[in-house]
Amino acid sequence: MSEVIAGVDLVKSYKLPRQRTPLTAVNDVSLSIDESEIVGLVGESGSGKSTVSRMLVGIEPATSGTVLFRGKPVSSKQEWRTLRDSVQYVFQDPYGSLAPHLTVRQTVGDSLDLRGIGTPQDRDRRVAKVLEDVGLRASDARSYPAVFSGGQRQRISLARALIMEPRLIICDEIASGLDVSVQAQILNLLLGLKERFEVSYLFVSHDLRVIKYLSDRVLVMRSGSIVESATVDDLFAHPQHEYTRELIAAVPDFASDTVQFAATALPPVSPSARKAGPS
Amino acid sequence: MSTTATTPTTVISARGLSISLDDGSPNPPRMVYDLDLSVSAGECVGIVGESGSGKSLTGLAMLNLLPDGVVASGGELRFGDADLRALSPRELRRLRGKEVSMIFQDPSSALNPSRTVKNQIVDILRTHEKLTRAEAVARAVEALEDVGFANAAARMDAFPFQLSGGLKQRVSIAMALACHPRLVIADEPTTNLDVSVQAGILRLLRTRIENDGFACIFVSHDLGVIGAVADRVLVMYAGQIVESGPVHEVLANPQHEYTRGLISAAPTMSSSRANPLRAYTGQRPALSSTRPASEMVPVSGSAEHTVRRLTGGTAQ
Repeated sequence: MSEVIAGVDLVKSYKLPRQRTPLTAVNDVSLSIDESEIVGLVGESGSGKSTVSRMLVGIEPATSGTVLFRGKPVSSKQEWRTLRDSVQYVFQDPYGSLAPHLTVRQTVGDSLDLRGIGTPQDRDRRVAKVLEDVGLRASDARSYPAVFSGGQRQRISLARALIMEPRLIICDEIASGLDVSVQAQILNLLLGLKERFEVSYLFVSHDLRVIKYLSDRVLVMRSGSIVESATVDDLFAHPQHEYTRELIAAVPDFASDTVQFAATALPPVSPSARKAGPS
Repeated sequence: MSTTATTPTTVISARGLSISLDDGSPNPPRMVYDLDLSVSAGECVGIVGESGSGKSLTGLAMLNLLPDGVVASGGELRFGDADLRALSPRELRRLRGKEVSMIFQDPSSALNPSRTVKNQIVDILRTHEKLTRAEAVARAVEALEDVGFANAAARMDAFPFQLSGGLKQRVSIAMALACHPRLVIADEPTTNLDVSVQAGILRLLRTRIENDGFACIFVSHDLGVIGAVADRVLVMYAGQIVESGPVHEVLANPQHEYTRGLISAAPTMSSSRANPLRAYTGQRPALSSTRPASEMVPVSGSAEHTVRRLTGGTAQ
């Protein structure tokens, strides 16, 4: 399988005011994503998973290291532009990532309009088609984001990404904060789109249950480094790194084998010899 | 597991309670229908449901803390021996923070940004109990250490912004438990936290429920979290309890179609693409003054469009 994108030795450090030593947020991270592959990137807040994904599309310039697109290093402005046509990014917050004053037609069709691809009628048709691809109606193009629910807004963001016929979509926590049934719809939509358009995903999430459901391969990040990388089955069946094991053990799960979490796996936090509340 | 008491005492009970919009009409639209709920000392009851199901409103009603324009009507609501809705504002103030307390989802907005952790806990203690400042500080240290806030005496002069999300949530739990309440309402207290931090908080709450013996109502949309922390669970859909029972029974052997839908849509550590999640979609019944049809099964289908938020006020 051929590789869509790769990051080699990516480093991101920030200069702090009044401090000599810069803060290293991402330390020597290398990763690659193949055609039609779903790679899960998991880690806690502050582990650098969003920073890595942002460096891959150049939203956040890397302090050092290289991004390879289809095997070629990306450096000039033109090369970054080409990459960004093929690698799209969907953000977490469905309420913050759509411009409230633009109709769905304007938001979704913006990339086509800017590049002057096709006639205006062609562009309208493509917007209508991509809206249907993500499970919305063509007539939704006339509406503003305010009338849509969180799940529908994520579909609009996906439509905006899909219209450029990308090879890779980076999804940064796009199913967090949604109700379970809406979350399931979005996850299943992603899987369906992958089958139809052979698109790859880098799926960033802190929820191991979602990562396990969706991914082919999983990268585990902690404090700026990838501590483990394995296929999804291997990672969850035989986690190698101590930290991965900790993460897996911390997941609250109601599936039958771990359902006794509340009853047994609860060592007292502070065995204070305190009497019960006031009588 | 169980407290030393042989017969558990009911701390809060609601019978046939409805929550409706106060629009002045004789039959106002209702958001929660004929709710029956009772929680005993040392017991944790989970309320699970989706946005707009009425689970947060139910939690707020237990504190008589419903937002303006929303009222609890009909039925009865008793805290211990008292009719919660008959209490004067003064009596309610005495109750809240002492006998009944609340842990909110977002500790950053629940804590006062301009006061130190120490002062915020001391405030609560001295409002409700006759303590000198020195005694209150000592109690605050104890309260913080009991929630796993290490080295509390030295660190309690911190402001909330200097603490991580998990520590802030521990502080708000310490505040909620400082006066030894008989009832604690926790509304999605771990939703924004990392899994390992979340596990620590759930463990802490569970331990304190068992040690201190307070009653707890735990509201969450996450079945895994409910499974880890609750003894019993109420499943809410469109303002009604569609199913209730011991948590492991309900999760292992759900009886209502909606509960089954919720479970089959939730990713777990044993889900994989070979066994796809089943999204449960459809149209929620509109708010009305009468209870929706008894077999209130959500319409399945892909028309997610038809689900429009009906009011801004129905929980979050």
